[in-house]
Formats: sequence, C-alpha cells, structure tokens
Amino acid sequence: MIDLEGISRAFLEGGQRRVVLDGFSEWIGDGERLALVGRSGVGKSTLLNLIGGMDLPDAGTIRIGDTDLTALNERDRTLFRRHRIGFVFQFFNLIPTLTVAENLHMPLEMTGGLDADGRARATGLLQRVGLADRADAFPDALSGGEQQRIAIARALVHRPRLLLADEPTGTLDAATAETVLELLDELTGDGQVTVVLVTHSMDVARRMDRILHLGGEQA
Amino acid sequence: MAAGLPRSLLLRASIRYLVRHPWQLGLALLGVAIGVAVVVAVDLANQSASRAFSLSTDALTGQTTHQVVGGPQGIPEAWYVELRRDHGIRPAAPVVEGFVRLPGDDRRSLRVLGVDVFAETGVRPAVGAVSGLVDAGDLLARPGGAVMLAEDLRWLELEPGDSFTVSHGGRDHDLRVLAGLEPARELEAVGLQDVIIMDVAAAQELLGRTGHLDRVDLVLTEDQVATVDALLPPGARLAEADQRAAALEQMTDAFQLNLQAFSLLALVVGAFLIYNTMTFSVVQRRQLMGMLRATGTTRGELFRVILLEAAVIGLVGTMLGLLLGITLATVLVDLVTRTINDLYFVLSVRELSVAPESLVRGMLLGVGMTVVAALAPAREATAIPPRAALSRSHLERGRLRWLPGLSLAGLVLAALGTMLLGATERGLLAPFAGLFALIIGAAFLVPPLLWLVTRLLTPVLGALGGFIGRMTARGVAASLSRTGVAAAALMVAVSAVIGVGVMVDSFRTTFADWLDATLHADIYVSVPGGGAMEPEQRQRLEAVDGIELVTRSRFVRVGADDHDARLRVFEIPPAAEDGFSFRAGDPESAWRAYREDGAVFLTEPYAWHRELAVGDRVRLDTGEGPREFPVAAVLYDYGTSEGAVIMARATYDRYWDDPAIDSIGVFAASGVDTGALRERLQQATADGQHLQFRSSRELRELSLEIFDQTFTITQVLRILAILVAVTGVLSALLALALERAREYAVLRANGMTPRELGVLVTAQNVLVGLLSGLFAIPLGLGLAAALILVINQRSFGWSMDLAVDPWILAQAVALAVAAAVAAGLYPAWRMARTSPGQALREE
Ligand SMILES: Nc1ncnc2c1ncn2[C@@H]1O[C@H](COP(=O)(O)OP(=O)(O)OP(=O)(O)O)[C@@H](O)[C@H]1O
Ligand SMILES: [Mg+2]
Repeated sequence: MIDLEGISRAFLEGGQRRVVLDGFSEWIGDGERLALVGRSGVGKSTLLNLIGGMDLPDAGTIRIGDTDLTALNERDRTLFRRHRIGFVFQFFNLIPTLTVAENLHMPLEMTGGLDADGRARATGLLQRVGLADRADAFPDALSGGEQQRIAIARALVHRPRLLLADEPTGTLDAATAETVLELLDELTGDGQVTVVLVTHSMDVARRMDRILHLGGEQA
Repeated sequence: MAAGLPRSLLLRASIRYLVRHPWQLGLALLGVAIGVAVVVAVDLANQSASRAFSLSTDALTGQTTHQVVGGPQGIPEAWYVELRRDHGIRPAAPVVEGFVRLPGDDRRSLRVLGVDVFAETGVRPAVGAVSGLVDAGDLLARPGGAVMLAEDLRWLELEPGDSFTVSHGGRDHDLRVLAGLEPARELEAVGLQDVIIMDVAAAQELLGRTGHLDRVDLVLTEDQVATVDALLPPGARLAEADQRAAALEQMTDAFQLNLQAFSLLALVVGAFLIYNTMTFSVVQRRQLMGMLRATGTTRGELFRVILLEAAVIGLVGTMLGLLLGITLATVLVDLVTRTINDLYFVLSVRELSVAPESLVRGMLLGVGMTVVAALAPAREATAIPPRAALSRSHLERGRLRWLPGLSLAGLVLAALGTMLLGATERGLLAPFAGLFALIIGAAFLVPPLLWLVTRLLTPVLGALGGFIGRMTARGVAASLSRTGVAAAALMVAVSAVIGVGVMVDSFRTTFADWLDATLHADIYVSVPGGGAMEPEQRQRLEAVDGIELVTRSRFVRVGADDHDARLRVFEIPPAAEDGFSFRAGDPESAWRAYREDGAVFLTEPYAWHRELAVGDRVRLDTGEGPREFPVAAVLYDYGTSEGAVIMARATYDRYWDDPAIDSIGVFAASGVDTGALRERLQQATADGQHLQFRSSRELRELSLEIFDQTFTITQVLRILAILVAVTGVLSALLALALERAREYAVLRANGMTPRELGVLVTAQNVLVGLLSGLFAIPLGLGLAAALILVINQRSFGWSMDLAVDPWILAQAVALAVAAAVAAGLYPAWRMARTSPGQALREE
C-alpha cells in the first residue's frame, strides 16, 4: 500500500514561493489501480515524482509498504526505486543509444536479474507487446506507440510492485492509445502491481479502479 | 508576411538561448579568446622585436648608405683621415663599437658607440645632437665621457657628473656621465636605448682598439662608391648599410615564423571549440528550429541567424582575446628577446609595441575562423525538416553516413601533408602547409577511429563493467558528433604537446651529446663577456705546471660575400683533434686539408644557410684582400644557428695580422688534479685582466641552462596548447553531458544512483580522453619527426636525432585523460544535485 500523509511541496520561482501541494494525504491499496486527474499545473506530475522518490516533499511522509521514502537518503531511495518501481513517461522513455532489447534488459541488469529467466521474461514481454521482430532496432526507428509499448514492457520487466505512469498516452492518437492501454490492462490486470496513472482523459481514467481528482472536484 | 517569425524575435530567441547556457557560451568565448590571444601575443612579440631592431638600426645607421667594415684587425685610423681629407669623401663618420656590461648584471649588455660627434652631422642626426650638449674638451677628458639617453640614465640612477663602472674584456673601466640625451623624436629614443655614446678615442681605449676603427659610415653618391671601393684597406669591405641590417634581421625570420605557425595551431584548436559550440546549440534547438521552419521561417533566415550568432561569439571572444593577447605579449616579448639574444644578436626590447595591424590581423582571424567553423552547423540547421519532434539519435545516425567520406578526406589530407613535408628542398612554407594538412587530416580520422574502436570495445567493456561498461562504449559511439569533435580537438592539442616536447627533448639530447663530444679540455679559460686575452695573462697561464697541452681559440667576424661571417680560429694540437663531429667529409683527409692546404670546416648551419658543401669554396675578406678557401668538412655544431667558418690558426695567421687569442682550453697532464690545476691557473693570473675559468662540466651545464632559457618560449607555448586542449575537451564533453541530461534522468528514474551515473559519465570521458591521448601519440611523433627532420633543420640548419622519451608520451596521455575527467566533474556534480524529476521536466 501507499500511504501519503500531509505532503506539502512548494517551489521557489524567482524568489516567490509557489505552493503546489499543501498537506495532501491519500491511501492507495496494494494492487489498486488509481487514475490521477486534474487540471494542468495542479501538481499531478509533482505528486508522481514524490511517490517515485525522485523528489522529496517539504513536509509529510510517503510510505510504500514498510518503507518510509522520506526517511531514506538519495541512494537508498534510488535503490528502492530500482527494485520496486517502474516508470512510464509521456516522452523520452527509451535510451536512444540502446537497442529495443537492451532497453528492455536495462532494469534487469541494474537489479542483477539478467539471467536466463530474466531474458526469457524480456523476450516474452516483447512478444506480448507485439514487437519481437524489432528487438535489435534503435528506439528512433519505432513509432511513438511502439516506443510507448516498449516503455511499458520495460517498466514491468523486473516485476516492480508499483507502476507510475505520467500521461503515457498523452501524445498518441486514439487508436494507438487504445492498444497501449490494452497492453497496460493486460500486464497489470492480475492485481500484482499497484498502478498510479496520470491522465487528462476521462476515458483512460475510467479504465482504472479508482479516480482521484487532484485540486478539487471538476467535471 | 512570408516569414513565420520576425527576424528580431529569432535573434532574441537565439540570444536567450546562449545566455541560458552560460557554461557553453563561456567556454566558446574562452576558446576563441585563447586562440586569438596566442596568435596576437606571438605576433606582437615578434613585431616588437622587429620594431626594436629596425629602430635601433635606424638610429644607429641614420642616413648612412654604405659602410666600410673592417675585419678582425679593424681599419687604421689614418685611412679614415686620408679618405676624408685627401679624397674629400664626406660625410664620413668613424665608428668604434663594442659591448660592455654593468658589474653584477650578466644579462644586459650596453652598446658602446664610439664616434666623432662633429662628423656625425649628416650621418646620424640623433647622435650628432650630442655636439650641442657637451664640450669637445669634456669628451676627450678622462675618465671616458659618456652620453646616454636621459631615460637610460634615470633607469641606471645616474646623473650628469656621476661616474660609473663598466667592464669589458676582463677589465673594469670608469666612465663619467656628461649629459643625458633627449632626442626630439621618440622613435630615435627607442633606437638609442642601452647605447653609450663616447668619443672615438675614449671608446678605443675602453674597447682596446687604439689606432683602429671598426667601421666608417658613409653617405655616398653612385660615383663615389667605386672610388671608395678602390681605396679599401686590407681586410675591409664596402657594404650597403640596408643590406647589412637586412641580412642580420633575416636570421631571425625562421625563428619568428616557427612561433607564428605554432600560434596558428592554437587558433585551429580554438576553431574546433566554435564548431562544437555552434553544433551543440543547433542540435539542442532542433525542436525549436523544426517548429520555426514549420511556421514559415526560411532556410536562409535560419542560416543567417546561426552565422550571426557565431559572428557575435567570435567578436566578443576576439575582443577578450586581444586583451588577453596584449597581456600575454608582455611576457612573450621578453622570452622572444631572450631567444634572439641567445641565438642571434644583442637586442634590447624594453617595451611592447602594440601594432594596430597585429590587432586587426588577430581580429580578422578570430572572427573569420569563428564564422567558418559555424558554416557546417548553420547548414545543419537549415537541413532540419519543418516538423516539431525530432530525435537526437536520428541526427546522429545521419552523421554516421559521413564516416567513410571523413575517413577518406582524412587519409588524403594526411597523405598530402606528408608529401608536402618532403616535397621541397628548402623553404618553410611547403612544410608548414604540409604540417597543417597532416594535423587536420589526422583530426578528420578521429571520429571514424573513435567509432571503430568503441564498437570493438563494446563487448570488452560490457564483460568488464556490465551494463555501465556497455553504456560507456555505446555512449561514446552514439554521440559521435560530440565525442568525435572533443576527441579530435584534444588529440590535436595533445599531439602538439607531444610533438613539441619530443622535439625539444631530442634537441636537448643531441645538444648535450654534442657538448660531451666537443668539450674535451679540462678547464676553459676566457674573458668575461668575450674579447681577447691579454698576452701577459696568456703566458702566465700556459707556464703553469701540470698542463699536458692547450688549445687556443679566436672568434672574429670577417666579410664573406655579402655578409659578416663568424670565423672561429683554432689552434689544436693533433692529440686534441677528436673534439669535432663530422657531418660531411672524411675526417682524416679533411684534417689534412685543414692543416696543410688552408682548407676550412663549416658548421652545419653555415653550410645550410649559404648552400655550401664539401668541395665548395668560401670567399672571405682577409687581411690581404678576398681569398677563397676550400671546404674540407661540414661539422655538427649547435653553438649558433647563424653558423660559422672554422679555420686553422696557421691559415689565419697567413692571411690576417691578428695574434689575439680569446680563449684557451687546458688539458691537465695525467695524474694532475684538475681542481688543483685550476687553482694554480687562477693564482697565476690573479693580477691584471679578469679571466673566467670553467671546467668542461660547468661549461656543459651552463650551455644547457642557456639552452633551456632559449626554449622557455616553446615551453610557454606548450602550456598554452595544453590550456586550449583542456578548454576544448571541457567544452565538448560538457556539452555532451548537458545534452544528455534527459537520457541520464531516465536512467535515474529507472533506479540508477547518482554515483553510478557519475561513474558512467566519468567512464565515458575517460574513454574519450584515453583514446584521444593514444591517437595523439602517432600524430605527435609524426609532428616531432617533421619538426626535427624538416622544419627545424631548415629553420636553423641543425640536424638532430629523434629521441623519444616514453615519459613525455605517458604525460601527454595522462594529460588527455585528466582533461577529460575534469570535464566530467561538473556534469556529474550537477546530476547528483538535481532530482531526476526536475531534469525530466526541462526542455
Ligand atoms: N521545479 C519547479 N520549479 C518551479 N515550479 C515548478 C517546478 N516543478 C513544478 N512546478 C510548478 O508546480 C506546478 C505543478 O506542476 P506539475 O508538473 O506537477 O503539474 P501537472 O499537474 O503535472 O500539470 P500537467 O497536467 O500540465 O502536466 C506547476 O504550476 C509548475 O509550474
Ligand atoms: Mg504533468
């Protein structure tokens, strides 16, 4: 479970303090799939980064399972992320200097899981995202949707407990977005992975178990 | 309106971009600035030396058209009187000239100009002005009356009426200040710096030339030339004053050209920096540019904006470079002067003259180079398709297609350069062009080589360092446009460091070996500051117990065709004959011809500069008129780049009436302690003329010390090359790291720790540094070979052996790696500090 308690985060901008999150609390259950919606600039990405340990709150605690992220140092937070979290972004997910297969292997390598098992799992995932024949291509040879499918596969290849996705379909056309979402459903539908997904699309949000409106209720 | 964005908006966007990337901008400016500074500083130093030389020649020759130059014996004073009185040749000004030193100051020589101030009118107006300042009686009174520039007097803290001591020929002499000279024209003042004007008689006494003149300066009409020529006393020659000065100055041409070529190299490396910065800025802004193109900005507009940006950077960098260059020049001018003094002739350059044309040249070069370097990136900008999203690796992949062409161009240029190096027999232009072609060709080869080597290394590094190892090799190859430029710039600078280092080291080794082979006597005795030894002192010396044998030397200048040649006269007993190293000529027959047939030896530089070889003849103005001497051998000799003619004493005595001896080499008899012998020699000559005693070891050390001083300027330039290299690689690798911030952020998001990322960035930089350093070794050795075998040989006439000290190579590679690692520190630090979430939101 994810337990967010009294989280505040403000940014300094040209000497001015700009409060984005102010005492935000939330509880997300294990295996729950949460859609995070809200108007632009309300702090969705900020929150996602905080949950992923890529940023620290000014106040409050972030607990994931038994781990208090806010009590960890940078290194330990990174290692926690390495083993337990998968990330998918809107852009720039893949390392351009690595092939598709190598991108997919990256989390395994970093967690020491690139053994025969890991490889088989990566290959299996590649087949499931329908890109087995593109293993040796470089990311720029893939379309946006294909890249995003690889990104999702990569985020899950090392069996993280938590998947964080920031507008994964934001730049994709409706049909491509659909295939990406179906893939996401398929890969996370077994209740093994907790998902926090930021989106602007209510259609996308409705596919999740629960919708959380950040910054107040809005139609 | 046709264009999507007004031009001013385009400009504003580009200015903001540059301001937002201060590191990048700063390094580009620094690159241009250092390049321009080195060029300008060397130019200014050279110009200052040349200007000082020509001002001093102007002041010292004045209106003189011709000079009657005496040989070692000088010109009898009576001849001058006759010329003036009986033949009515005037204006005619007698000159006795020599150098004296101030006690306690070994470096600085003052020129004594002994003249008849009343004969100076119409010859040297500035000196003639002395007649209005002082009484004729005072000039002739004792001790010798001296007139100097008022400025020099202040410098020496002297006032009219004061006495001061100078030393010459091992004797101290008191002089009395008569007046300070304040020439009406400032330029004359510069020309008369460090000159002591005296009356002929007083100067003769001081310089030990009683009854003789060194030369007579004349202002002749066409008709008079033949008359004077017919009247010349034995051993003297009639020379055109301009030509004589030009021949003297010409000697330093090669040296100055060498400096200039080196400074241009700094600019070339600077151009890499510009290229790098501009490419970086274009690649970084490809999104923006694609968007601009999409909204209707034309290719031409984009092209012009990029060039304009480059021109602004070039201009600002150049301005900084000019300021830096002027500062640097104040240091270099001393070093250049020192080298000229050590290698060629006495020259006093007290201040830097900032020639506007040097600044203009530096400016044109700086801005021009910058714009040229920006042409390719500007073209690249126009090739960006009008679309919003473009990936970086797309651009990189496009560049891979260049590799074969780049390789080919590199090979062709390098081959062309190598050919040019050996294409001509003499002259420096072709070899320097060849050198530059070789360097640029080699630089072209760096990206393809880098690509190849990192590809080969990928599995190796993967096996060694796992994921990070593989990422390291991949990263270098995948950002070839950046790493390639960084590596090329680094490679060029490091190879220059190697080339110059190996060259100087080889030279020093050759020089030291030559000293060992040459300095055979146990103790060398000479007069401090040079000049003849008094006969009594010589007799006392040679009468000391424990001497096996002595060699006697005399060093003079004699007319040879159109120039004054150094003539070294040696009296060497057969037992001491092995002190010469023969470059050409069979030693045995050469020695015989030298002893018995009046043949001469030439030192290598002399033979080179005058295009003479064994079997040719040298024409010298002897005391009995011009005579030709067969050349029996060419000798290795690193004493002077001007070169010298070497003659047996017996031959000299046959043609010149000059019994003087300048220095004596003493060989101790076997079993005699040289330290004790030296003491006895010193005791025997304690009274009278001062003499200096040096063991061969001391002389060797002293010579090497002077050698090192002479090459200080080279070392300084080497340090500047290092500076440019470090700036270059810093700029390129920094650009790379900043450009990849997003990619690194993705790695961080996926759980790579800051430390691991630091290792990755550092490992990539080490790889680039190491490979550049290794690539620099062959080029550096090639440069060293070209410098030694071609450039130096032609510039100075010296041949030397290539001696490669592995330590120099190791240092250079270490330098490359250190520079590359340093370049990774800031990005690594930045990476560790910024949260990946932050990095991912930045575009
Ligand atoms: N590093 C920062 N410095 C200053 N302000 C920041 C920084 N990061 C975020 N902000 C501000 O915090 C607010 C929330 O940003 P955030 O990116 O979380 O919004 P968001 O909800 O994800 O919006 P969007 O839907 O447009 O992606 C914004 O107003 C943004 O300007
Ligand atoms: Mg967002």
